[in-house]
Amino acid sequence: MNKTLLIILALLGVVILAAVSSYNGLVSSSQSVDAAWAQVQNVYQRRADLVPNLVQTVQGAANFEKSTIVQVTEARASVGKVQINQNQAPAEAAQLAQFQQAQGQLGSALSRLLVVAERYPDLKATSNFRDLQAQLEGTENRIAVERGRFNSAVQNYNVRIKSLPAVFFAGLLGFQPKPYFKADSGAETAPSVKFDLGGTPASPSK
Amino acid sequence: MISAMFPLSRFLLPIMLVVVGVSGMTLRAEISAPPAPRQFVTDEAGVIPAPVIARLNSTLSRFEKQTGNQIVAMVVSSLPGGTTLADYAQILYHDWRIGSKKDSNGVLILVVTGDRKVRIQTGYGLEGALPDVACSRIIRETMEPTFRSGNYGEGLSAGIAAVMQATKGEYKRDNKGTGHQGTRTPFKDFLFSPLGLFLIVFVVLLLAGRNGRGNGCGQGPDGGMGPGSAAAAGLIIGGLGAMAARGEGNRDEGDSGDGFSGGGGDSGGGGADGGW
Repeated sequence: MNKTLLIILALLGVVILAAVSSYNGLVSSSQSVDAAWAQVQNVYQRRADLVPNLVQTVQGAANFEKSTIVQVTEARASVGKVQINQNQAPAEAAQLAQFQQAQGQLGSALSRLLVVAERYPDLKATSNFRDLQAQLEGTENRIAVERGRFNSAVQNYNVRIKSLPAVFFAGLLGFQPKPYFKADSGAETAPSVKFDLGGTPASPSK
Repeated sequence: MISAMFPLSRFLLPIMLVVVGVSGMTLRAEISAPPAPRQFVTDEAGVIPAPVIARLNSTLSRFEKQTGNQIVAMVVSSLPGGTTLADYAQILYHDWRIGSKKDSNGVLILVVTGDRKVRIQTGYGLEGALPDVACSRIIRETMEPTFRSGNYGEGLSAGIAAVMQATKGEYKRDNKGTGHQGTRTPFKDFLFSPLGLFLIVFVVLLLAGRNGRGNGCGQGPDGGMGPGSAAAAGLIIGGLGAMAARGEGNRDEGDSGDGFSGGGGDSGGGGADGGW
């Protein structure tokens, strides 16, 4: 019995087994990223679905600032235009950035609308508006949670494809690093509030 | 034979250690929550009379036995620095694993007396029974007015009663209790990990080498394990021990008497908050 041949065969077997098992690990890790992505899509969709109802409610308030409503409606429309796979996490950083930018615009338009609504006590007192506000806050909170989970799933995956032994196989098997959500550029700047002392509706800051 | 195996094990050992080290490094750090309470209601701010806490604890314990839902209330005087109410509620919920693993049927009520704020946080499984609007209404209509007058015991009792009312029909409690750990075991995970497969092949290789030699010159007087296989066996046993220690299913979950014990549930950030 040729011992050298036996050892070489066994080593080859080890390499193949390691490749197979790290492939399986990478697949499941990649699927966790996709699952987290689907959740992210869910919660963003939930927010988008609230918009028509919210717009309708604030329009009911006497002379509610029109430009704010227009901004929300436009941002909602541009969110719908971003083409993105709902079930598979984006592979390109640019794709994710585009999605995030559109959603960020809707987010800041909505928060501006809530700020403006502070000036309409009659509107704020209606239970319909308060319910919508609670739903919107809950949805923003869910977005933050699911985005955080998505990022940690991506981190887990990205660390994995760069760790031993997967680092030897990941590139060959087509596993590329995936992009993260970045901290929102609008998040650190609070929407500007303008107090109109003259009684005319304030113009929105563009 | 032994001289042929020795360089091999000397070569394999560092690789194994690197693999073990790297897989350990990927565990990520998280902001820590205080250890999970043993009771359903915890008052760290000292604003709720002890008899009220005792009554709520037994009510919630009975409620869990009947419905499977876990409702946990926490009263603190202030939030840890740098966290918001919603963030902290999320961290507590996640770390305390409220509700069952399968259904995440739990609710966390967090009261911060210093900030005069309260949040009801729902697990994934009770978002339907207790939507954000319902949480908001419970806070506005039953908790805020009594909190405003300083009667925390009454406000919390009323809030808990409303949450129980809303969630009682949502799940049937299964007999196994709320703890649902799934079929993955540390041992199974280990066997199918790269390291496990690696070691199996290693041991098979060693045995094959010994048999091959045995055919040629008969069994030697040694009888015991060679240094290579002894090292491999040691690594396997050590590895299994480490895996078992890392497994988190060892805690007694679910049916542990009258206290609270998290069942593995999680929350997606649902719920509402309010202030008074």
